[in-house]
Amino acid sequence: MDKKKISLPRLALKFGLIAGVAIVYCAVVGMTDRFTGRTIVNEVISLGDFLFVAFALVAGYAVAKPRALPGDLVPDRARPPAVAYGALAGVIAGLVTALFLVIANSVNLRLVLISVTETLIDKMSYGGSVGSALVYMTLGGALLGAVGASLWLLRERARNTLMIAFVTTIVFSLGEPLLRPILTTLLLKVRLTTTWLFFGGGLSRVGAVVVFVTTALIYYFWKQRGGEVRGRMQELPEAQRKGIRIAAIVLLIAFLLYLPNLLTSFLAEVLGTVGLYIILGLGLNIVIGYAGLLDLGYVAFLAVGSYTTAILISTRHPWGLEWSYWMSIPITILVAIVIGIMIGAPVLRLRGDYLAIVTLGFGEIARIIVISDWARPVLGGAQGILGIRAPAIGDLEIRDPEKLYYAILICVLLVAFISIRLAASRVGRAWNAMREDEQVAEAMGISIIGYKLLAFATGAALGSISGIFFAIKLGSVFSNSFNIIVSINVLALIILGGMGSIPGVIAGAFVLVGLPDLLREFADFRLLIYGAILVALMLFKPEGLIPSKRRKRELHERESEEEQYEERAGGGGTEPVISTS
Amino acid sequence: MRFALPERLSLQKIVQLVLGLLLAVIVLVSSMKTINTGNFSGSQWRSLVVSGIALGSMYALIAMGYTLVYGILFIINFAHGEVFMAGGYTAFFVARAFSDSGFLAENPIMSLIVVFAVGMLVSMLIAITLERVAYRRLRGAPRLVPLITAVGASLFLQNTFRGLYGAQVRAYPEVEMLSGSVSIFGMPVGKLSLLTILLAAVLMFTLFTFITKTKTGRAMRAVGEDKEIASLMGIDVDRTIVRTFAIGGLLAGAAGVLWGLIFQVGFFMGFFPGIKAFTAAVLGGIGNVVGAGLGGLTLGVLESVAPNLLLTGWDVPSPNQLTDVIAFTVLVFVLIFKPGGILGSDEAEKV
Repeated sequence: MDKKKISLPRLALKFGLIAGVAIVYCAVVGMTDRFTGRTIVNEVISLGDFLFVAFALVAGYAVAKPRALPGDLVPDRARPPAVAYGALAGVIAGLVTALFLVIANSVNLRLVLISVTETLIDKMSYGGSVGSALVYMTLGGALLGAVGASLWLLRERARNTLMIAFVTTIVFSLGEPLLRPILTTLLLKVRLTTTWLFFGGGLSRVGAVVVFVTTALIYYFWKQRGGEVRGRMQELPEAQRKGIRIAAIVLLIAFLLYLPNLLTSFLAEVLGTVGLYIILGLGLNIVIGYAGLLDLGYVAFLAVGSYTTAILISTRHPWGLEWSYWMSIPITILVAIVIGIMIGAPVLRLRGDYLAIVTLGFGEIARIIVISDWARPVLGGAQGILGIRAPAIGDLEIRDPEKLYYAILICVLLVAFISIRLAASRVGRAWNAMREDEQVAEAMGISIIGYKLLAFATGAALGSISGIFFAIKLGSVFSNSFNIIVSINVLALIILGGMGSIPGVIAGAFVLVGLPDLLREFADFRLLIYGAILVALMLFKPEGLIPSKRRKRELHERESEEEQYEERAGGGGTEPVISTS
Repeated sequence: MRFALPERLSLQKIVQLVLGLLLAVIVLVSSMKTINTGNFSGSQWRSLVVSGIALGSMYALIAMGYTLVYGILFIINFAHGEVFMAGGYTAFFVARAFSDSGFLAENPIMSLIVVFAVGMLVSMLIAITLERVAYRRLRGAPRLVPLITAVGASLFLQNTFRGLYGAQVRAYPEVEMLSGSVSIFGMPVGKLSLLTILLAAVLMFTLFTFITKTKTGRAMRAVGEDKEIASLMGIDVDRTIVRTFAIGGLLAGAAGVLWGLIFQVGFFMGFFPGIKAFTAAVLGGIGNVVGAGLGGLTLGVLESVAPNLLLTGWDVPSPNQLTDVIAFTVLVFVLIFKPGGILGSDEAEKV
């Protein structure tokens, strides 16, 4: 891979500097200051400290990661000297941070960099002087870097166990606002409390140890026995395996149906929002993941859905239509499809990049028109449209978060089902072919424009369904709910989960929409983190975290081709090696 | 082949023709109606055109970055608007410091030069870093990948500067030398507009000469044609690409400072100018340097004149709220009728 000779000192310098710059970056954009308010483990570590800890650990880990020399296999473990260089990387990271503190302490940076305040410097030097901070940071960095590096001295199973347990502990702690009420309700039924587990906004010390050890044990056990279980599952006859799978899905659905009973109504509302984003994500997933068209103005369809519903339903709209929901839903979807085709038609025959910008433009046009004075008589301008009735089935009004949760859940299941069936259908295969190579697909008789329009229209329809719920949820429609951030949010959650992967979209929505709602500390840095996630994923893992199989193969096509080529070249050389590039 | 049959008039061509005629009629009728209302005097139209040219010069400067990068790497550097923002926003602090210390009033020319230099350098650094960190690894990746990276980088930069400098919108200190206006052919032209137009013209002319006359410029064009062959000819492809980004950054930084002097600066200032400059680049024919300049000017004038000219006649309230719609509508129409842009070929690349 890397042509330059790999030398540990150089790696230590590189990763140490990167970690140091990252730590300072977090401080100057205000993350560190904001995050120190949140506990991870009571009286041991806060989220702000965690930034330093995490970067130093990762630096050490990255330095010690064994790298293969050309022609060798990648060794499983590192040799002991790597630990020293891991520590060196940590020291460098610590020194960079300390240097920043020294500068910030002597020069008033606050005139330009608004986050570099006295309190920040105080917090980062733990109340002591900057000189003492220098010592802490260097020693702490050395220790953490060494710990990170020494992970590579362990066997793979032990290493993975430790890392998974560590990450789970952090996730548990960050998930406190969600997990605490659920666990409290659950444990109350068996007469236990959670007071020993959580403290403040994070885990208590005992809790942290318990979570760490439990996860480690479970993971270790699963690694030892998991293969057996899976093997036995494979041996079962097809019918039985199918039965188990269906049972698992039924169990999952039962859990989802029972969930609101465990939650406060705030959490039910958060879940509702997550559900809306799952619908949006699945819709955009068809456009981006299946058909490979980058739509950056997806919010326009959310707006179309919301506003059409509002105009048709509202009791306070000047047109006074006041239709029933059952009539308005098909019309709304139809309007969205028509608008989707209108937007798509002029640009779909061009390169994908143009589509991205044009859809972005349309998203903005939608927003500008909505807030303009010109459209005020119809769309209400900045005041929006009020008086959207709750839909009712018989006497049952769907307005409070719990009922809306069920409605959205049904819709999510429906949309997910449609997505799954579409992927496997003739249309889905045509989209795949088109995404992988337009010209070849066209030569195979696939109408490119037709299928692109179909993808666009399907996406629009699903987006508008989400819009309908959005209008119902708020009971009103306001222009400022429909900005570019929504589009970016949906894009980010698809990319995180993996383009074209339905479980990916769902997981992505929980992480990117649910978590920031729960962790208010992240709210200010939400977009920053999205941006970083998008770039990092595209650079290192373009197929996403839960990739669909096909997509993964596609994105690593070249590597696997290279591997095959190497295999062939190395395999005795009987075959003629022809360079095709 | 005996003789070429006249090409069959395809459905697409017919639709285009009808749409084009319709558009022309709408523009004509709307303009007539507006002119008949007599709401605007001749000098008002002229000053709208002048401010449109100034605006267009800034779009043109930013559009250079898009068009250069596109011409060489075939990616839309979506984060270029943020490169522009970085320079304009950072130079603000220098300008403010000069203004506070009195240096700006004492020696305005010197301090303006320093302010411009800082803005241009910061933008250049950001552009180079962007290339190194985000794009270099992605050469040859499926086309969706660098585009999404660019969107991510744009968000990241925007919010980084929000974290660094704060979320509020700020105005550059008043430069006395640049306030007021001069009379050109009996028409008053704001000094700031004049500076913008002149500076943009000088920078773009320099760029044009650089690309056509120097060795580096030739290398850039060669890399744009074919990277592999260029590298076989002894061109350092990586370095050439870095230089391309650097030049785009320098021009965007200059535009950023100009933008700050005329309007205001803030972390979100790059978004709209970025998209519009891209529109300008497409309008002129993406990949074409002269085209980007022309496209920028056209878009600037259209934006400044069109809302008033087309919408006032129809009694649309506050037409200037719809200014941004014009740019995007222009983009869509260009893509429908002449996807290659004014100076480009007729067919936009498919692939």
